Amino acid sequence: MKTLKKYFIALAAIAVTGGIYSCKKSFLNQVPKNSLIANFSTASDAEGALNGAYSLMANSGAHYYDWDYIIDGDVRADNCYSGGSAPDIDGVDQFTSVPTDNQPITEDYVELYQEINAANILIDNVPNIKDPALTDTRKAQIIGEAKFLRAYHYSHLVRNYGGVVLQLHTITVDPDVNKARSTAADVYAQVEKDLLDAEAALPATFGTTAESHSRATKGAAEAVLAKVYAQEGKYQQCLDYCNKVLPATFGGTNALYALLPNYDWCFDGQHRFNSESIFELEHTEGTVTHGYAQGLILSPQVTDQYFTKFVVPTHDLVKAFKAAGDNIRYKSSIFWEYNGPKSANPTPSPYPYGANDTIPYVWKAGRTWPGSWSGGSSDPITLVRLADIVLLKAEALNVLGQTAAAIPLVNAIRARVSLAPITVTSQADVALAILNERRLELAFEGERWYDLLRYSTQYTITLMNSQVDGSGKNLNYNMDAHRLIYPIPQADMDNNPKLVQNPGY
Amino acid sequence: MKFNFMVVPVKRRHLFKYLLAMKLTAVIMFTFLLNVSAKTFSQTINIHQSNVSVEKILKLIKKQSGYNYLYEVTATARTSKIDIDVTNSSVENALDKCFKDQPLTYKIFQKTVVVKARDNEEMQQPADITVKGKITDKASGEPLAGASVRVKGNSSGVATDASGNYSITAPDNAILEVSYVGYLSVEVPVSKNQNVNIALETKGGNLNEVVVIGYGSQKKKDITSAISVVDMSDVKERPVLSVAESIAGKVPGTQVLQPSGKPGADLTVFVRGVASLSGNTQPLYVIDGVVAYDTRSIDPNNIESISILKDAAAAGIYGAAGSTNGVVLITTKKGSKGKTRVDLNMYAGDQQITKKLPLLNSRQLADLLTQEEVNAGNTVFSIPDSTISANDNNWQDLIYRKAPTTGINANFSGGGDKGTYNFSVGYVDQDGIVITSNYKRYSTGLNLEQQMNNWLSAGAHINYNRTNYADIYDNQRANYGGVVLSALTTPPFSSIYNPNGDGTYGYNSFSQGWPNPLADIYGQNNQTVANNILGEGHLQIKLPFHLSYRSQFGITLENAYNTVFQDPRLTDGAKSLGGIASYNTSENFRYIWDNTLTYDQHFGKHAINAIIGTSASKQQDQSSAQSGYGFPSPDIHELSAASNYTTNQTFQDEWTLESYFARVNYSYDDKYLLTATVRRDGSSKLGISNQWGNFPAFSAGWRVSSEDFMKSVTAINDLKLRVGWGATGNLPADLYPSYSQLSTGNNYAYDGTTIVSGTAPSSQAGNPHLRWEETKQFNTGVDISLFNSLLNVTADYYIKRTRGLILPVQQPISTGVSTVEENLPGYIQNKGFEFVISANIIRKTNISWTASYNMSFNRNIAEFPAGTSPIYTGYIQDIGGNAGIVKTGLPLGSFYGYVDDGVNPQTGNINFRDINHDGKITPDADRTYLGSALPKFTFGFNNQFSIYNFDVDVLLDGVYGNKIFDATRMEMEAMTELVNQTTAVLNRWQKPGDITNVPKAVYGNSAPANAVPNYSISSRWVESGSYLKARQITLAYNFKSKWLENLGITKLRPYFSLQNLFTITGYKGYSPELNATSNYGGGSNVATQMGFDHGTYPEAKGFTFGINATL
Repeated sequence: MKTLKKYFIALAAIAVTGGIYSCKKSFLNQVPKNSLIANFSTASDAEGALNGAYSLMANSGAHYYDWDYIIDGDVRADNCYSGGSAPDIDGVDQFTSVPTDNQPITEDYVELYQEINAANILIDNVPNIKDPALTDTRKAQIIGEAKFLRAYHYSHLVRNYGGVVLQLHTITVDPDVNKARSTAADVYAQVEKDLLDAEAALPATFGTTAESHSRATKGAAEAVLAKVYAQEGKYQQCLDYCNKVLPATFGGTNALYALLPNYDWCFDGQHRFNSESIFELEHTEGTVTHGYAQGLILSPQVTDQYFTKFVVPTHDLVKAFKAAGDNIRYKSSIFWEYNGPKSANPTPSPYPYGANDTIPYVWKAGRTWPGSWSGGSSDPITLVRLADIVLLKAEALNVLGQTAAAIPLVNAIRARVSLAPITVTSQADVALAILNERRLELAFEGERWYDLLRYSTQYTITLMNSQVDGSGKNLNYNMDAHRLIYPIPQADMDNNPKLVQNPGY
Repeated sequence: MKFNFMVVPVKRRHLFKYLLAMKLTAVIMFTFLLNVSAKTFSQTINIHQSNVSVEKILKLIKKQSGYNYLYEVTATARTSKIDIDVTNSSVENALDKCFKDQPLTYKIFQKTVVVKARDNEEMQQPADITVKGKITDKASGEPLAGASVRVKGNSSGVATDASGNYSITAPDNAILEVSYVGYLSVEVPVSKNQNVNIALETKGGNLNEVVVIGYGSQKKKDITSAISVVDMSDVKERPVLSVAESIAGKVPGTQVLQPSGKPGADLTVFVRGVASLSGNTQPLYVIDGVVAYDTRSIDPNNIESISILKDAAAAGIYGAAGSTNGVVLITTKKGSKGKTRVDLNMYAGDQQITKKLPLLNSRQLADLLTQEEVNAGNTVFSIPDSTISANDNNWQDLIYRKAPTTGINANFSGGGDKGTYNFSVGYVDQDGIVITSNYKRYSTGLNLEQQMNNWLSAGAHINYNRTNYADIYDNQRANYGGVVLSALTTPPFSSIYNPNGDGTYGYNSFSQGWPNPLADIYGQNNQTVANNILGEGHLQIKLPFHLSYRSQFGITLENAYNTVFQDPRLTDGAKSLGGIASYNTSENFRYIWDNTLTYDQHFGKHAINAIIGTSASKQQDQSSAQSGYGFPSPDIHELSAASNYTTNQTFQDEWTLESYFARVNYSYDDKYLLTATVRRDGSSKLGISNQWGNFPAFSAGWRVSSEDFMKSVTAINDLKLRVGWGATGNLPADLYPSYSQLSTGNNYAYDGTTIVSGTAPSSQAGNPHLRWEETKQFNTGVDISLFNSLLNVTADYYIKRTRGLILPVQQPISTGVSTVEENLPGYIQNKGFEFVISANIIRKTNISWTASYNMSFNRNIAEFPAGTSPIYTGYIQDIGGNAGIVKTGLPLGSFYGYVDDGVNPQTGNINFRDINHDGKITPDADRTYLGSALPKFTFGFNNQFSIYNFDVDVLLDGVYGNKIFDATRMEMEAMTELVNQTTAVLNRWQKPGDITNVPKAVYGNSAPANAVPNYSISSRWVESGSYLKARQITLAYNFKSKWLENLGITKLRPYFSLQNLFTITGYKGYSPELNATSNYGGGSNVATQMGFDHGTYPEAKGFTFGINATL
């Protein structure tokens, strides 16, 4: 019966072979080993993804919260020239940008959506985590932090690009990739909703002082809500939310925050997690989370890097500081440097080459510069600061007709930097005084352009078209209303047939 | 076992019913085919016949008895003629007499007689006899040493000795199979015939030649698909380091390119064009049944045969694993029964650069640079005479050298009755033509086959080699450390060493960032040591019903480490950091387990070979990278001594493939041939919801020459028409395209100091629906053998369309991800015609000339739906952006740029063509298609002359109609930087009125008034890549003497071989075969970036002297 034996051997072998494959269903399911797959399941996965969501804003590959927000808020406005030799930043400064190929306009749009995606991954996945190590409280907090971040990024997108596409899920959850743009109102509505959710979910403080400033907190959500309401023109809500953030000194109810006694402490890199900082980004020296771009802004001698620096204070801003007699904030904001022979040609336009012995440079961020290109600055960047909210409340009160109540708030900010109280009293004059106060207080903090837009779009257009260089010659910006927002980057127009370009571009 | 159903034990009866039912089913089908029926009945048999066939007697018995007969035709094939004398006999008695001494038995079921072959063990064993004889070459009468002689049906055999004699023990009436490489195999019956001399005919139209196909083998005459067999005879005559080298120029439809002249560099092989954008474009290699994605583990000297499966009908059995790009089947040498045979191949040779480029001397360069600065409006500077006269180095002379090669390979083979072995060892040491570059390989292989008993055999095969590789950097600009470009661009007046006398190597006089080539070469010691193992073990079980089962488990393992040390004593860069070191390791391990069941049977004119099987494979990769700087002593290179660490990383990944397949080969009367294949594959590399794919293939052949109406056409020995269609697949290059991933390393410090680890979405999101790239290929061909096989032609026409092309597709920015790997709509088509003509032009006793000419035409085109954006590719480092394009209507490998309409005699700037006719030169918009790197046709011409004891082998090959983007020339004629240039720039425009095609020299990359700089990517840098190359010419002498034979030396054959003796080409660079970008990305971007020369290691020409000996 040898044949039979063979037959059985063969059958057995074939059965075994077939069986092994089909039994091991996991054989074909190989998952990446060097990275996490996006639908994660543990508490530490969630915390890691949240750490990454913050890291994306601060790491050396990110530009928006490193310096591009200053390009949008200060270079586009009358606070800074583009400096350097970057035609794309010139395009922002001089209102000549085109949808195709403008680097900051395109990159910021890309980056903010990447950061929104990082938040969406948390919002999509964290609710499904069954890991007992993740308490319900912490789960709600993580979602709250993610919603805060998403809202914060959208608030920047909407004020720069108008109504943008609302992507509220990762594309694995929502595979409809070609979405039409929402209206600005819809985007703001979503931002408000996320921030209100965040406000409800987030604690006022975390376990450490550091985390209470570097993470999204209830206070941070409220402060950003106040800013968003203001930008929408909802000044009553803005006022209410300012009061939720402000200490009693300024008519608020929150004891966590207070103005620092010394203005310069906000920027010297030596006072992390101070009482005036509501939300800040952390940098660490020599790692991927260092501040990189300050090397492009800080003066050549400070950085030991001799090329034409970017984002250079305008003659107009220097004049404004001088006109106000504002020496303290002037010195904290601007660093004058003699362009010695060591630098081949570092003079940023429109400061004429050879005509100025000294050039003003931005001096508000990254002062702790290690002197090595790869290292970068370890200084934090304060994104939401109490002084902003104080002045915002003044603005809200004034717009709401409570001008008299607004004036002491402005004067409190002025008092810190040894300036006399303002003398104007009419609603219109106070509005202009607040606008100017914000300019000097918040220079190079990415606020000026949006302050101008809130004040008056027509005023903004007129103001920009009247800008002159050092010799008093008009800079001929020739900007008009369509330039109040950026174009949608052509790269996205090309990818998504449903997009409609902003008017005028 | 006995053919006796009645005494089957009860417990097994059930099974027997089953077996019987199966058998009867086959029997009944057979009855139907033979259309036999019983008509009359008679109980007694009377037969008186002599010397008649068994079949005839069976027919007589049938006629007289009325019994129906069922028999397997093959069973009667081995019967001999018999004498029979029966009167009034019973049917049983007559059958008994008839089948006495025959390998047949029978059983009667009512009125049906079933005749079948006797099981081996119960067959009456005819007495073994010893058969002796001599095997000779039919044409020359020379004895053939080492020819294989074996008894048909046995796996073991003997080999002929030096005089061509053999002696084998075989059963009487056995059939001997005689085979010898390069000759037609023959089968000779030895019944009572104890002295059999056989003259073998050389191959030509070798129809019975056995060709290795996927999971089996097939006679050439039965093949219905496009399969080429590579002639490996020249591999022992020259230093062939890689498998691809042994294929070059020989196979129609297969283009082999040597993208770099580095010793041991990977070659590029395209089978029937290029059919993928981002996936693999290289063929699948299957070595002794083990799927391998490269051939690094194989010493070509160990190869017995190579078959290339080109169409879907042939390659489809390998399904999705990459069969779209063709499959190269390699079998290594096995032993044969007989005394130990030793083959030796020893050689030594020398190589040198094929040509050097003419460069400016110190004075000419100084003039040029001054002019560049003046024309750029910069402050006039002048180079002091003392500088100019200080040196006049031709850096090419300083880095290129005569590079010796030596090698030895020894092969030991033999075997006994039950087992055979083959053992080989080899060593090769090849210096590169650039100083310090070197390749050494130590290889060994062992192949064992053992017949355990009459139903079980097993074998194993293992190849191991170790390579030591000293590398230099190429394909880079000089400021990135590219040695080849540095040797061209470094000014002749620059000094070898820094003038400060510290012993460090110097720089381009005008730029500290541009090291001279000696600084690049000596500045970093770059060594790679790799261990490669490819092995398999298998067992084969012979089953009843002509079935056999085979299980094979194979592994490939590549383990490598790379060390780089930059000596602080030799370069400024390393000096400033106190020495820089890196240490990288990698391990790639794959196993593949195949199980197959084969059925092989003939019924009359029907022959069926069928196979079903399963396969599972898994690859696991690991790598690590470490680097650091700051060493206490330049003699300590270990990273543990470094003061700073810059990299510390490890990676792991794995992927799997699971397959089920079946194939049926059917032939009727050797005239009508059919093959059907199906394979089902699943792979982890694909989208979770689309992991499985099916790959069917069909082909048919018609041997017209076997038809009766062709019998009278004696000029045609064989004529076969073939047609086939099938599907093949290709996997994505990416291992996990299905998953959205969160990348590690996105860390954060909430308190500004304590770093916590974080993950962030990677820029590519997963696509759970990603499926294979699928190619459907139609192939039709003809095989013709004419005039006694003097002339043989094989020609094929094919259309190959690849759909579902995988590409990372750009996503809307609002999704937050940049790409998702998707299957694109549209396709890439390769359409072509290829043929090979081989002829025995002279076939005299002492003089012969055989020639083989092959030619392949392939037309490649990409077709995408309207509105698909083109893909720009072929990035030229620093100096000009992308020079390649993938666009609908164009072939892959297309170049894209401006058209150079000559130099304006007034301005000295190039007149670029206004492609869009808008009256001006518009950046980007005025670019157009500038030709493709894919040739219109390729050809190879292989000649073997034999004149008395001399052999001459000449292999020529070439390509026509392809273009090369010469970015090296872009570096060497741009005249925009302070670097040396070729003498072509002596013709530059210098003053208004100059008529020339070389524009003016202007420092800097500024555009002139027409907005497009002169150096831009344009037709100026696109050149014809056509060439004809004398790849190898060998002269060998065969010593034939009794004296040597008495010493046991059966073959002694010294040879002298020339490699790349000349190349006829209009190409201006080092070699038209080079390709820089195929080396950039590990080959994955080969498809879209072909034909770029950018400082690539030049090719060498050389000679080799060697000896082949057989003991």
